[in-house]
Amino acid sequence: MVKKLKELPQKIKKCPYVLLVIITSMVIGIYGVLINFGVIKPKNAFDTPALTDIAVASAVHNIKAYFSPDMDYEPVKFVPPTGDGTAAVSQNGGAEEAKAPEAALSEASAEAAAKKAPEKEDEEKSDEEKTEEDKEEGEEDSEEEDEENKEEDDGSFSPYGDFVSVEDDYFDERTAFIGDSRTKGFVLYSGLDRIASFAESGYAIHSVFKKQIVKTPVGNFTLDQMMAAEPDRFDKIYLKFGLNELGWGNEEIFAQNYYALIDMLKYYQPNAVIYVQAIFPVTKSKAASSKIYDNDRIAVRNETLKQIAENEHVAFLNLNPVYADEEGYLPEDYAPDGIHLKAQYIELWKDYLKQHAIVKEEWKEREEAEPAETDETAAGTAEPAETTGIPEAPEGEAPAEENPDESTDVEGYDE
Amino acid sequence: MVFSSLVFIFRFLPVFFILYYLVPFGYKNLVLFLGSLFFYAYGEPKFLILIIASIIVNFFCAEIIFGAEEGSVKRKLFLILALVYDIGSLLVFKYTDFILENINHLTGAEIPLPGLTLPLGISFYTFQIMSYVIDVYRKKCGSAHNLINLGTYLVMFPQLIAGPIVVYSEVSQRLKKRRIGPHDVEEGLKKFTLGLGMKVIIANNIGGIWNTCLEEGFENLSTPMAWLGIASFSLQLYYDFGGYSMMAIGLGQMLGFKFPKNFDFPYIARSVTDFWRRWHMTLTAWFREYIYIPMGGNRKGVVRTILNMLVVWLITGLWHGAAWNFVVWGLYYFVLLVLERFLLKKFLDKIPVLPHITTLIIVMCGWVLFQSPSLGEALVFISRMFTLNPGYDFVDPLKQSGMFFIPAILCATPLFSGIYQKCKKKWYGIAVLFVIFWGSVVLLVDSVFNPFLYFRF
Repeated sequence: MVKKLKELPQKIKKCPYVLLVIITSMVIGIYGVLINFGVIKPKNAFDTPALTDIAVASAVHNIKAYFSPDMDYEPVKFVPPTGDGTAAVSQNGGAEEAKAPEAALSEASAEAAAKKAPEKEDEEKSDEEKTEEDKEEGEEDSEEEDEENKEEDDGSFSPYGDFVSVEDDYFDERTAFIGDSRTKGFVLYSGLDRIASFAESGYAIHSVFKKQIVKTPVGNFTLDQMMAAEPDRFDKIYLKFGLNELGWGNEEIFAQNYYALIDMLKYYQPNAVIYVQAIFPVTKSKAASSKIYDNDRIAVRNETLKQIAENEHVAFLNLNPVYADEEGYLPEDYAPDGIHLKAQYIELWKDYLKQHAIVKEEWKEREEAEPAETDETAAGTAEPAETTGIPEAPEGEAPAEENPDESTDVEGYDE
Repeated sequence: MVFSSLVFIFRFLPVFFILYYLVPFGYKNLVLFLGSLFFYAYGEPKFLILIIASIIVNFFCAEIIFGAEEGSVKRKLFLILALVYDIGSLLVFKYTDFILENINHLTGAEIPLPGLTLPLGISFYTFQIMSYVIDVYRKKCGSAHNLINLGTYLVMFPQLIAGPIVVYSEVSQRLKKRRIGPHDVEEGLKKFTLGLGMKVIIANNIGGIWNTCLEEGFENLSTPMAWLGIASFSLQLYYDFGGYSMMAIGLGQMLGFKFPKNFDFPYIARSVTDFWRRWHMTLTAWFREYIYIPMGGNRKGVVRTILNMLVVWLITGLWHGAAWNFVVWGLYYFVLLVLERFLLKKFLDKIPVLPHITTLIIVMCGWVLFQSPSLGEALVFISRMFTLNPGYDFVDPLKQSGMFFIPAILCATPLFSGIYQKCKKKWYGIAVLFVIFWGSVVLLVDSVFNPFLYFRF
């Protein structure tokens, strides 16, 4: 043994690469251990640059919670990422606590408070005169028709009212699909070419504020930048996250990030109907071969998604009836790699969305008020629209007046 | 456990190697044996019994064969017993469903398919243990006399799951006695790093395109997309499997063994014959040694040679998978090899550049047969390759993975291997390897898509 030790220095000289790898691994390992035991505070991986916006959004979120005690709903503890000195907003629902971060950001907060408007289109965005209380009540009156979420038998629900059936033209330019690679597949193969798509392989909930997903000739932008630049552009937003983050194993952090996303969307697209889509299962062979992609985890994640949708009072779409077989797996021939759907099975997803759509009254009003450029059908009833492809109003030469922002080409977005 | 995973690199390897290097030589095999069993059981504990049973059965049969008299019935008997057990277990676990399906088809019977899961690595370790028993019978080597040694040979984790098929006689010496110097550890780790980079950096990133083709449906592919799809699959398969083999060889070297090369730049091959001397070399060597040559090889006349080749290629095809498209794939190469051997050889040697290109195209079409979900779809794909179908579906995938194509193509040629040999000891060579290692680790941390294509064997 001693002899071996004496020979060691000589041996070490002969294998520099091994040593290099071992030493760097140990250094990183020690760093990891130190982080684990709290000795070092790491730069949080979920740091988002738009912290002020998120803090504001979370404040708003908690204000809503405070004002909704009669709805019997648990306000959500939102803990903004630490590391920048902001005090964590603890779960109290207390208005003072919720106001504290707001007070620190006076201008932004005033806008945020004003922003929480019911869906009256003529309301100015930066109306600073309205108090928060008025905002909340107004919102409650018009937004929530009834306290209970209408839960369908298949697990989808909507606080906006009943689901109706629509046709393909429901998915117009004022529709956004935001999500991961499965959503990308949907966008590619659904045949809906008017929708705006913010979907990419690997897009995950914590990178929505960082990843520059919108690529234009004038530059690349993150989702929130894009939303900020084109407020009120969207009527319907479909979200699908959760699969890429299955490996996290931490539902709370996932939820926090999702809340931040939804609050941001509500901030900039206040009149939009937001759909949280559940993640549908993987194939049996994929679940068998992977520790991360298994349907138990997916089920847990879907519960979280359902909770998020309930807490945020947005719609929840459960896609399991479409894609799960008797055992709860995705049928093998639907996805060659176990996860991503083949083009011909995207149709089923689209059909489900078409049968679980929300149409808001004021969309119809808006359409009647101005000449409709698009073929948006008035599908307030359960009947499918009769006019497909034939606009009801005279085809306006004027560019869509209802979307003043869209016609500006300062940013030049053409998703 | 898969080599290209964090748990393997940062948990299993350090613990294992510390034990392995500290322990005196007499116990190294035991450490390796137990460590490998743990490695195997980590992924699939239930088939551990099977592989241990295989060791025990073959060990005793070989001991009896070795001890029995020359030419006695006993020798033949126990050889046949061992082979029946080995081939039988492979047949049962891998081919039952396939056989029953075909019986059902032919006779209209409705025998239910048991749907057995394939034990990890059974195709590889069965061939290895058969090589042992047959070699003992042929007196090419002595029997192991030590159950642990034989066990170590069979379950050694570098080559257990998909590694080069190492024939017993190649490592029997080193099993009994080997030295492991710092040079071995160094070079072994470097090879492991290269293999890791091949798999994680190149193979995983190029692989997405074939999946995109699957999603789109073969009947919708444009011509450029079809070519892009199969080119990317061909590269992915090479880097995936070649990378894994490289990692296995590197690990083997760190353990003190010398495993044979498994790939020799297959895509620069001049002919299909040449290709198969460069792709999965240990498999073709095994078939040549234990099937082709015992059947007479090419020494019994033209007709017999062709027959021998047919048998070898049918089995080669079937070995790769229990489905008809693999059989067709095997036959595809059988026909081409016969043509080359008896008709085209002279021409191929004379023409300068063209054979390389045609060989590549032939091989790529072969991979279409190999990997398509069904024979019909494979033919559809090939037809999309050779007819003019315009389209823009290739633009997006090309943009996403395009940057990996040039390095992938370049490194598939011997262009860099000479450079590597010269630089691997210099500081800049080590720096590059260092970057490859940590780059791969970073990609692994982030990865959602880390398949291993030859894993189903």
